[in-house]
Amino acid sequence: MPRESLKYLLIAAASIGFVILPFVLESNYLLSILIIIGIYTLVVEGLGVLMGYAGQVSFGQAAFFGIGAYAVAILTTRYSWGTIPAFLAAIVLPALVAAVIGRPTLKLKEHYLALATLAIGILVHIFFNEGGELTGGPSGLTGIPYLKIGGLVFDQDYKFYYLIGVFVLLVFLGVRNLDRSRIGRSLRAIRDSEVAAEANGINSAALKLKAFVFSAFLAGLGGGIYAYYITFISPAPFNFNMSIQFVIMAVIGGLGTIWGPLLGVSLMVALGEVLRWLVPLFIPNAGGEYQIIFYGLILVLTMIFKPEGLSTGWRKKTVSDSEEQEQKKENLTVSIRR
Amino acid sequence: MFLEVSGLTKHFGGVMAVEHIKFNVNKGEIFALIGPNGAGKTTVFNLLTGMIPPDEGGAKFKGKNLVGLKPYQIRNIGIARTFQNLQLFNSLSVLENVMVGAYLSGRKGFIQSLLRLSGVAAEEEQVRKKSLEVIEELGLGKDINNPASVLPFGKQRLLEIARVLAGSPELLFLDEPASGLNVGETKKLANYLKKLKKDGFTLVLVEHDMETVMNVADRILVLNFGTVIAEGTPEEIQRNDEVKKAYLGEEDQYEYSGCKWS
Repeated sequence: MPRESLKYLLIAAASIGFVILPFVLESNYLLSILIIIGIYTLVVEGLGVLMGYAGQVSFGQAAFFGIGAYAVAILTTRYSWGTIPAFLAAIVLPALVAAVIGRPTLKLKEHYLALATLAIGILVHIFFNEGGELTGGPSGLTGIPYLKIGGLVFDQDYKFYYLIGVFVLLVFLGVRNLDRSRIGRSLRAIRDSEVAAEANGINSAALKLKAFVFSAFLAGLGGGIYAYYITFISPAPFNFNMSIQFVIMAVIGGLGTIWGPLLGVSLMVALGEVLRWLVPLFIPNAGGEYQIIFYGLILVLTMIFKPEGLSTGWRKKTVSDSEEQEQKKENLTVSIRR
Repeated sequence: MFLEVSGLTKHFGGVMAVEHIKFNVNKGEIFALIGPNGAGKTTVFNLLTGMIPPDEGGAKFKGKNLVGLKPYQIRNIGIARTFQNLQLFNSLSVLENVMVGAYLSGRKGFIQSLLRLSGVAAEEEQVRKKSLEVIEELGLGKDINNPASVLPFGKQRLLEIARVLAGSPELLFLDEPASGLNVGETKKLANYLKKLKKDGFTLVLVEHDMETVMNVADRILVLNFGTVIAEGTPEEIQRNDEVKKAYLGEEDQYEYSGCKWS
């Protein structure tokens, strides 16, 4: 069978599988895990653009995710906003925050953004905890209403499943468009050589800022959906630990790829669930912290055996590969001779 | 005046890299900067393309002041450069490298690209076509889908030139375009540079290969220890005693040369 038609067959099969899955699954538990995977995928897809294309790291994605979730919670419960306006605020607010912190830091070269986002992540988490009346403090906010779009009320898991499916698909298409455009190419160029990118007319600071704002926008989108899905939020899921998990998901899935984030998120979420079930069997009083050991282990193993991420396929070594290596050696000797 | 450089001065700590450099470049000519190693040629390039700020002096391109502009802004007003130590986008394909060079001929921004609004595809196709033309012209047609990192050195040099040409700059700074090329490649390059001149580009090059310089340059500026020691046509430069001294040393030093070079 030709490659192209095989591809379409796979896509068709996947789409049908996606649509009928809620009817096949008997437990709401599995469906809820798929929804969480979808929500995280939105966040990590944005982080993937920032890391894989612009070559910058953010250690504060959980904060943007949290700002989105809290925007929905606060605006609907405290200020009785409609669910759609609150949802829009959840998307816009993190993007605004990112624009404000990204503007000065991205003018600097190297990884100042990583430090700035680290600080913002911690700050925002403290704010959620200490926000008193507004954020509900450590116990959080309850009573978030169901999301209503037109006559459609998202009050059941399968509805969220389809909603998040649509969003993930749209984001996939967007990132794919970006990848094949002048902007995606320029971002990858900045990652390879910022000096040369600038010399070719690219305002690298401005473009990196856009990538960062985009990543915060997607984190906010995920956060907004998360709040409507869980209907109760507390500061706990938006801490530094979560930011690190997002980074790990992006890295093990494969940076600069479209499917990588979905794969990385699925793997990490599945691992988390398995560990939650497995570890108490051996260590009865274990808390949640042991998980981070396994996440670290996965990251280290990926870095050793598959540094470009798991979604890039396991290519067998071919003739052209060894030719490539020869060529590299040759180039090296030429540059040494010079 | 097309490019007017006046009193350009730069220190690195206590070291004087270049001092009071002054020269003009006319539209449509090939202008070469030569001089022994460490004479300050690349520093002049870096100063003129916004990579480093000058301590004193400045430069005007078609009347516009270049001092204080960032590299991308300088590229925006029509000045492009290549790098002595290649600065390719290694993970991008040859075609993509050249398409990045045509960045400024595109107008579609982040959101338009994300949503692939109308016109994005057409613009991509246009840039692609133009890039392929330039690639063909430089003889890289067989390598369009290869990542830049796997090309042999000579082709990488050509790719850098292809990349800047795709953006159709008016003034082109080439930093040692022939270094690392073999004799045949160098000859081809020299002919190509002359062709570029015929096509209306203005070129400023730093080059160590004297044969190429004498062959292609209309005028030459000679630097030594950061200052201008001569300026003129290739014939004038070849006859200039100051230049000979700079390259070969003072006459009375010859007796020591044996020790120095051993």
